[in-house]
Amino acid sequence: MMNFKEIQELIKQINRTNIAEFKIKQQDFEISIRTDKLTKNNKTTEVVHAAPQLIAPSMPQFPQATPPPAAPTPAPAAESKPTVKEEAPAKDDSNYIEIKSPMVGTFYRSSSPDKPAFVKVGDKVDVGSVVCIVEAMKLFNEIESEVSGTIVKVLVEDAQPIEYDQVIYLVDPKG
Amino acid sequence: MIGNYVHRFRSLNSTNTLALNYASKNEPFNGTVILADYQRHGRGQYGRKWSNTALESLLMSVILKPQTLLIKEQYILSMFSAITVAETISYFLPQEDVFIKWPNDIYVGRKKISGILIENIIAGKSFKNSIIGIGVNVSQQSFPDHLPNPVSLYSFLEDLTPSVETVLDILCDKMNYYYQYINGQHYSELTALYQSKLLDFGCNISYLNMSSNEQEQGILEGVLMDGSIVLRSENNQKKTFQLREIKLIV
Repeated sequence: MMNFKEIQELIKQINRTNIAEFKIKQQDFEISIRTDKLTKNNKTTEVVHAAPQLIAPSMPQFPQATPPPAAPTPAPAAESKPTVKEEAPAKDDSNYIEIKSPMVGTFYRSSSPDKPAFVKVGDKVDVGSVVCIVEAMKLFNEIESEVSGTIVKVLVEDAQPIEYDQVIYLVDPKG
Repeated sequence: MIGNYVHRFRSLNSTNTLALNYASKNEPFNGTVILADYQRHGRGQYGRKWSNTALESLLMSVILKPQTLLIKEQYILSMFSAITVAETISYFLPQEDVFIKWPNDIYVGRKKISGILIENIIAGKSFKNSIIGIGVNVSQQSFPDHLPNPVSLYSFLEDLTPSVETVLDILCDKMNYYYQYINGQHYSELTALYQSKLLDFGCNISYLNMSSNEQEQGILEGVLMDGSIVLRSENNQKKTFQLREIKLIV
């Protein structure tokens, strides 16, 4: 049976290679490691993706790099690929910060119809940058960003009604 | 105190735009006033033009920091502005009927004397600044043709028309008085006062129902704290409308 340090070293080594899956069996001890190397975006450098999934029921105290749903049950190799593919985009979004509407009203992307939008996809925002106007009952509210990063998604159309807490933008804090 | 600090400019694009920029780059005192003798591109609601000639109108913005007010209570700012401007006009025209036309235009009789444009800056769950832009027709003797029903203080007072500075002084007094209502969260008192000054309050009015696109009639029963209007239809049905859902026919 391998000890904690050995497993750690094993993961490091596998990560440096192009190995997609790795299994080892010694008597009643079994370990299987799966990486994202088989998925389409195998060039990805994001930490979350690069970390291998460890399936080792005999060592539950081992720090898990991925959230529990996929990890605790050892899955046959054939089923592992789709699982990884589905998870990747979900994890992408969870790294982003949502800018939400603080009120009910009408969403405007610019200060007046002939002006350019406050922000668009790819723009950098800082804490305090105005990101939009929400109008309600003829009161015009400039909404300031509470985060800094890059706008990756605009989820509301200009001049559309908006609800309280509705997500307006997704911001990549690392961007 | 509102009006303790007045920044006066000969000519500005818009007092609200300057106030917004000023408030975002500095830490203005609550109640700082931006005053312009003339506005090149005075703005009405969301890009609409507001016309004026130098020193004929009171053109100002006041920067407020309403600390206790919640975002969902923001219509209180609209009521506060409309009440203080209406009382200022009444101060100079005690013989005339001064009304608030929902949501926040000020009328003498059935003619418009003042318009208000409120722009807030929101950070997180609270107001950072509230910029209240006010235009009052003071000494205009004539108006451009495109304005439907304008009137000025001069229309009533002629040679006794006050200066723009005097109108500002009275307005600041009224604002300081009613700002205590906001700080003390006396919102229902403000709502009652706003309602009592409402144009056509208790009257049968015609309006365009924007969802059905049909003209309907109803008795104007009041305005709720969130700013929505309450009308009672002929079959005794109570209807509440947001601003976008209705067009009043005055």
